[in-house]
Amino acid sequence: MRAVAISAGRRLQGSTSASLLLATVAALAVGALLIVIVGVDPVDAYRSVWEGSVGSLDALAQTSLRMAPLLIMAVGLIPALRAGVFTIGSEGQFGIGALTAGLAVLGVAPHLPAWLAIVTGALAGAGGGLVWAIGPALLRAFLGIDEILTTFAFNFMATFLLLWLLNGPARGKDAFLVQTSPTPEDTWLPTLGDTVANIGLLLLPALVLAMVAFGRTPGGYRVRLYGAQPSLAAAAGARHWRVVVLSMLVAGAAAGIAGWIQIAGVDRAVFGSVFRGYGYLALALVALGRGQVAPTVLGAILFAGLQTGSEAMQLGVGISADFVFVMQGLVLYLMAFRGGRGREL
Amino acid sequence: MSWLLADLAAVFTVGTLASGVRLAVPTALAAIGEAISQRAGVFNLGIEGMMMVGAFTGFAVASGSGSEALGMLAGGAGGAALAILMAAGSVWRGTNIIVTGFALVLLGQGLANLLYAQNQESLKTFEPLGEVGFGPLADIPVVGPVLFAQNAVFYAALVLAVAVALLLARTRFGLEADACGADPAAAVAKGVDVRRTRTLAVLAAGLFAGLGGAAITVGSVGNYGSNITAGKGFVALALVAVARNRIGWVLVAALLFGTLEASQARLQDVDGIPVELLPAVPWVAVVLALLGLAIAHVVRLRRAA
Amino acid sequence: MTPLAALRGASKRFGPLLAVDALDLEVHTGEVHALIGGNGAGKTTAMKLLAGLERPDAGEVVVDGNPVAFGSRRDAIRAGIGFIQQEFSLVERLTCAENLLLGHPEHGFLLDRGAAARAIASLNERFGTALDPDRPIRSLSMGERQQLEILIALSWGGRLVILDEPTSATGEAGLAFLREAMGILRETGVGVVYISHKLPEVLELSDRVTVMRRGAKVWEGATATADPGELAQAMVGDVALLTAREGRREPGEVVLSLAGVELPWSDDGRSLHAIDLEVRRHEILGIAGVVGNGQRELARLCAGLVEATAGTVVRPEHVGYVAEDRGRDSLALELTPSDNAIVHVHRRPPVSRRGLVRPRAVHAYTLRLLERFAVDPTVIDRAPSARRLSGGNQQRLVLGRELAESTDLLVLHNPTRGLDVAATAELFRQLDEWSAAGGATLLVSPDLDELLEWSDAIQVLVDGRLTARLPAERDAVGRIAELMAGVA
Repeated sequence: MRAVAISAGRRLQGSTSASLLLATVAALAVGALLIVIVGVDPVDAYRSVWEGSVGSLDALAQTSLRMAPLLIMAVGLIPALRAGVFTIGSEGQFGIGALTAGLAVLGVAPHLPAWLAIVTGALAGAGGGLVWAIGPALLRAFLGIDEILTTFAFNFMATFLLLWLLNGPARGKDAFLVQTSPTPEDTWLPTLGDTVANIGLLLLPALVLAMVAFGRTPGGYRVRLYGAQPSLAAAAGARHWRVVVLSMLVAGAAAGIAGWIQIAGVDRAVFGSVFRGYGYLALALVALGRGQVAPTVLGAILFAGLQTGSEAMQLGVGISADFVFVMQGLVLYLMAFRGGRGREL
Repeated sequence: MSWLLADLAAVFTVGTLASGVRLAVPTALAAIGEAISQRAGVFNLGIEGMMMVGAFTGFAVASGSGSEALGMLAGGAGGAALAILMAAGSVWRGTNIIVTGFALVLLGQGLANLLYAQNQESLKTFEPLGEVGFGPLADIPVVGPVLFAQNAVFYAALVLAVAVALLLARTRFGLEADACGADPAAAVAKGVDVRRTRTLAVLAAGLFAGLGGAAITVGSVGNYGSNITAGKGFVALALVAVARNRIGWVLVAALLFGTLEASQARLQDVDGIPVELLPAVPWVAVVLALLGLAIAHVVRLRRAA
Repeated sequence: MTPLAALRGASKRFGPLLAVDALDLEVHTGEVHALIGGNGAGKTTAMKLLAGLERPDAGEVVVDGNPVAFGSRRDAIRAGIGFIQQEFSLVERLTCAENLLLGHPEHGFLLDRGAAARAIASLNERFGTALDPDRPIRSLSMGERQQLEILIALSWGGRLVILDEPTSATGEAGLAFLREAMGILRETGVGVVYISHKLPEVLELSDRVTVMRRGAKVWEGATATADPGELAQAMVGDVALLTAREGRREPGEVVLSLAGVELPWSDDGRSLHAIDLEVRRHEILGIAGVVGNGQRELARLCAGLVEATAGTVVRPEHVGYVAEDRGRDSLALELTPSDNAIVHVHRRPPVSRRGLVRPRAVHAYTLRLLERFAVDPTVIDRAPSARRLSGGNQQRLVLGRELAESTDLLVLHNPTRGLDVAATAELFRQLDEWSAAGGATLLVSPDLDELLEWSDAIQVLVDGRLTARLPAERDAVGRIAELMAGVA
C-alpha cells in the first residue's frame, strides 16, 4: 500500500500537469496580492473570475469558445516543437486560414448545400494555413534558414496581406468596417443548445485524440527521437527534411482550422482584427506543457478560463481585464523553471 | 513614374528627418540595452515587457511628483526590476530563454496596463518635455531642426550611447561580456564570473528598456495608453540583430526605422501606395534586412564547407 | 632548496573514484618536470589542484614553502601559476591582445590595449615568435595559439607554467617551438610541469620525471638516468591477466576488413592514415592507444557512421555500435529507456502492429533485451528517462539493444567508461558469450588492462596510424606500452 502511494507520489512529482496546477495557484496568490494593493477584496474578485469562467453554462460556453482556437493550434504545434523545429508562424497561418475559409464559404455558399459549404470552409481553412507554412518549411529543410525568422516574416506578410485584401478586393459590399461580407447564416456552425458554443467544439476531442494517436505511430516516435537525438533518429530511418516539412505543415493546417472555427463559429466574417495573438499564446501553451498533450489541454482550459474570468471580473469589481496577462505571464514564468534548458522544451 | 519619384522625394524632408530622430529615441535606448545583453550572450525577448513597465512607472512618477527627471529614473528602475526576473530565471537557473522572455512580455504588459487602468483618474496627464533651447543653432538649415530642436531625452540618449560604446570597447566589463557571449567555456577558464557578468548585462538591458519606455510617456506624449510602446521593444530586438550588437550601427538602424515611421504621414498623400500598408513599411525593411542576413549567413557556411 | 611549488600528500576524490592518491610532487625554479602516465592516471587532476581549478580533499598545495588554499583559478593566477590545458582557453573571436587582457590578474577598469601589445611584442622578441596582437584567435594555427598561451602565462607573472599534453594538438611543429621555449623558460627561472604520455619528447625536454598510475606516484627520478623501457612499463604497470576468456574459439571468416583506409578528421590535417585491419568471427580485436589519436573516428568508421575518403572497407550491413559518449551518440537521454530500446525495431512487429506502436509490446521487448544482464530489468524499464539511469544501466541498455539485432559485428568504444567493477565484469561476460556464438568484436579502449584481458590480438593506434597485430599476451606488454608512448 505504501509502495503504491510512494510511486503515485513520484509520478505526481514528475507530472507536468501537476506542476501546472501548482504554478496557477501560485500565480493566483500573487494576483490576490495585486488585487489587494489596488484596493479590492480578492475574494469578491475571484468569485467574479469563477462565475465568469465556469460558473454557469453560458460562462462555460464562452470559455470553450476562447479555448477552441488556442487548443487546436497548440496541439498542432506539438510535433514540430518536439522535433526541435521552432515555428512561430501560427499567428499568420491562423489569419490566412480564416481568410481562405471565409472567402471559400462566401464563394460556394450560393451554389452548394449548407453542410457542404461548411465542410468546404474547413478544408479551405486548413489548406490556407498549410500553404502559408510551405515557404518557411522548405527554406528550413533544404537551405537551413532559421525557421524562427522566416515564420516571423510570414506572420507579418499575413497581417498586411489581409489588411490590403480586406480594404480592397475582399471588402464586404455594405461594410463600413474593414471586413468581408458576413457569411450566410446557414453556414454558421450550429450552436449547442441555447448557448453561444458551437458544434465545432466537438472537433476538439477528435483532434486531441488524433494527436495522441500520432504520438503512438512509428512516425510519431521518429519525430520524438529526432528532437531528442538526431543522430539516433537517422539510424531509425528518419529523414531530416521529412520531419521538418511534415511537422511544419501539420502546425500550419492546425492553425488554419483554428482560423476557420473562429470565422464559422464566432466572427461570421473575416475582420481585420482576426490577429489576436492566439498564435503566440498557443506556442506558450506547448512550452508550458513541455510538448505533452495532457498538460497542453489543461493549459488551454486554464488560460481560456482566466481570460473569460478576467473579463467578468472587470465588469464585476472593476479590475482591468489586463489581469489575465499578468496571470498568464506568471504561470509561464514559473513553469519555465520546470522545463529544459537551452532550446529544449 | 517620375511623378511618383518626385512625390516620394518630397516626403523625405528635413521635417521628416527631425521627426524620425524624435521617434527613434525610445527604440534606440531599448536597443542599446539589448546590445549589451546580447553581447554577453543573453537574448532578452522580454524587452517589450520591460519597456511597458518603464513607460508606466515613468508616467506615474512624473505625474505624481511633477518631475520629469524623476519619472525617467523611475522608468529605468521599473524596467530593471522586471529584468531581475529574467536574470533569476535565465541566467541563474538556466530556464528556456525564449519562454522566460515571452512570459515577461506578458507580465510586463499586463502589470503596466492593469496598474494604469486602476489608477487612471488619479494620474494626471502633463505636457511632455519640450525642446531644449539652443536658440539660433536650431535655425541652421538641415542640421538645425534635426539635431538642435530635440527634447532633453534625446541628448541624454546620445550621451548614454557614447558611454555604453566606450564601456563595451574600452573596459574590462565590456571585454568580459564579449567573452561570455562568444565562448562562455573559455571565459570560465580565464576566471571570468560569467553569471555575474550576464546578470549585470541583463539588468542593463532592463534599465535601458525602461528608459526607452519612459522616453515615450514622459518625453514625448505626456500620457499613457495601453499600446503605448506598439512593438518598439521587438523592433529593438530586430535592430540589434541587424546591427550585430554594435552601438554605432544600432543608432543608424534606429534612425532609419524612425525616419520610415515618420514618413508615413507624408506617404499617405502619395497616390499609388495603399494607405493600409504604410505601417508595414518600416517593418518590411527590418524583416528584409534580417532575411538578408540569414541568407548571407547560410551562404557563408556553405562556401566554407 | 625550497621548491617553487609542491603537492604534499594531496588526494582528490570524485564520488567512488580516487583520482589523486596521496601525491607528493615538487617543482623547482628553472626546472622542467615531466609528469607522465596513461589515461586516467590522474595527471591532469593533480595539476588542477595546483592551478586552483580543484581543491584537494586531503594533503596540501604549497607555494614558495607556504601552504596555500586557492579559492578559485584567479587566486592561483595571482600566485603566478599558469595552466595551459589541452583545450586552449582562448576566445576565438577576440584578438591576441584582448585574450591577454581577459582575466589578467592586475587589471583596472579600463583596458590598456597598448600595454598588451607591448607585452606581446617584447615576448615575441624573447621567444622568436611572430604573434600579431591585433589578429583574432580564429586566424591562428594551433601552434600559434599555444605560443600565445605560453606568452600570456608569462605576462601574467607566471612563475610556474603547467603544460597539459602540449603536442597533442600541435604535433611536430609545436615540438620544435617547445624545444626553444623550454630553454628560455629555464633561463628565466620559470618552473615547468610537462604532462605527457609521449616518452620521446619527455626524455628530450625534461630534467626530472614523475610517473603516475591510478592516481599514485609509482616512479620518480632524473631524466638523465631513466631507462625508456622501464618508464613505459611503469606507466602501464603490472598487468595481471585475470581469468582466461572462456569463449575463445578458432577465428572464422572475416567480418570486417579495412585496407589502406584514409579519413581526415580535423582542420589541422590530422587523419587516419593507411589503416589495415581485419576482424573475424569469434574474435575480439583490441585497439590500444592514448585518447586523441583517432579512436573515435576509427570506431565510427567501422560502425558505418562515416565513410572513408580512400581505401576499401568491407563491413556487414548492420553493425552494433556502443559509442564512447553514450549521451551524445547512443542514447536519447530525454526519452524513456524503452523508447531508446526500440530504435532499430520500432517499425516491425511485435513492437508495432497495424501502424501503431504497442506500449505493452515495447515494454516486453525492452525487458527481453535486458534479460541477459544480471539486473532487474523492470528497474531500467520504469525509469522516467534514460538520463536517470546509472552509467551501468545506460550501458546495459545500449549494449542490449545493439546485440539484439542479428548483427555480425560489434564495435565498442571505451565501453566500461563510468561502470563499476561488477558491471564491467558482466559486460565482458556478455561479450564472451557473443563471441563464442560467432560474433566479431572491435574493442577500442584506452585501458590496456582490459584489452589484454579480453582481446585476442591488439593493434596500437598512434597519431592516426595503426601498428601491426600483436598477440594480447603478457610478454607483449612492454612492446605495446612502448608503442603507445611513441617509443618505437
